[in-house]
Amino acid sequence: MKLLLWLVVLLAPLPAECLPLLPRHLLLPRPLLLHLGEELSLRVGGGSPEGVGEKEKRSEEPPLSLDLTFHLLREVLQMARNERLNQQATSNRALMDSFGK
Amino acid sequence: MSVAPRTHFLLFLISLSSRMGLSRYIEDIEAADGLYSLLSLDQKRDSEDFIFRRPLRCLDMLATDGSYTFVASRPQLACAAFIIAEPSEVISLELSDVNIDCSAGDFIKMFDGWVLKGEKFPSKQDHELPLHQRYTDYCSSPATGATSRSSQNVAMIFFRLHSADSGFTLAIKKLHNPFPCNIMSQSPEGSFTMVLPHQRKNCSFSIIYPVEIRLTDLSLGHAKSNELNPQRQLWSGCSGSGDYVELLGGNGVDTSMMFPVADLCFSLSGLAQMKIGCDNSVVRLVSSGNYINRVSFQYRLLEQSELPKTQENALDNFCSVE
Repeated sequence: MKLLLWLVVLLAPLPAECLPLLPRHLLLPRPLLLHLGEELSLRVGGGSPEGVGEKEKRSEEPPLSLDLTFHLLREVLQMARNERLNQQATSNRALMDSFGK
Repeated sequence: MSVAPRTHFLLFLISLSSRMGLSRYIEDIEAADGLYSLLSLDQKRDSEDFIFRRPLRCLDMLATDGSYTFVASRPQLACAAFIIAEPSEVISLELSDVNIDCSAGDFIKMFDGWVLKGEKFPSKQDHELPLHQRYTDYCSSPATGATSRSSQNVAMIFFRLHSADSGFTLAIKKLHNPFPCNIMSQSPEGSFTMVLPHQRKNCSFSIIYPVEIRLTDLSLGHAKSNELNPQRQLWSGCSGSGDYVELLGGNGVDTSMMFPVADLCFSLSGLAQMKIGCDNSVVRLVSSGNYINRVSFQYRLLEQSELPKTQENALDNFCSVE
């Protein structure tokens, strides 16, 4: 039975992108996040954020948009992919621990 | 029943089923739970610990199923999170533990797609819903505005919180989509097959990198690949054709604002490739709904040295294509 389980684990599908896993503390590079805070802006209501206390007309289409360059978008996407791969590895490890019980 | 009427009856049933799109393409094997299915009931109950949880950031990109909690430490007036799944998945979003003051201008809005610099993916032309139906506003109706399901593998959430300690929890779950349409690729390399079985719609596969795209297989309804036309070039325009594939390049996410660099309107069994040196490269399948259309392609990231050279003295602001 254990041999069968090991075979299942070894033959289980892996993500196509088998990138090297990063340590958790490297998944959230602070300089990048700070840079994102400087670079991006969220436009609401036609270009400028509304003042505090102003209500949006909820019947109108909310013109929300995020001004983010493709370069930064790719960076955060890569971070998210690394996070997913790390989580999958953690989940597999926990499952294998359960099999051993 | 004699053979002839039975034959006619069976042919009638087959033609009915083809009109309804019932074919082997509809087979949808339920997504296997993988290793999870090997657990016992007790172990599955304990699997609550397997749910991924972490704080949500004001600007975030989420690609993992799980629970994300945002608590404002100070007023946060401009926050958004991109959510992306695998190409053959759609995204289910659920809000809980919502502690915001809608009357004070707080909001949480979920969008069916991505919005970037005013451009939307999928475009208005390619999405089945009108634009206003793609937004789910929690404050408009907390009962129905707390859940949302995307039509493709990307979604987004915008939120604004004026008070410290206000916040919410967002649960993300990915669901299998048997016929993906309008896909944003997570990676700059890979391969994909897009199938549109008797569906009148246009589907785009978007790659937010400069890539070389290789079309390896193309099957269109009005296949006339056996008719040789030496004077007809591979990249001739397909305007007026019912079903075709087009390659787009541009520097935004809205496919309706991108430049068509090539199109194919007859089936292809060989290899066709193109380098698109744009921030966004798209394979778009235009389908009339009369046929079962299929396109397979591979793509890889272009290195800096491989980027096609831009034409000197070019007046149009168009990214390079080769």
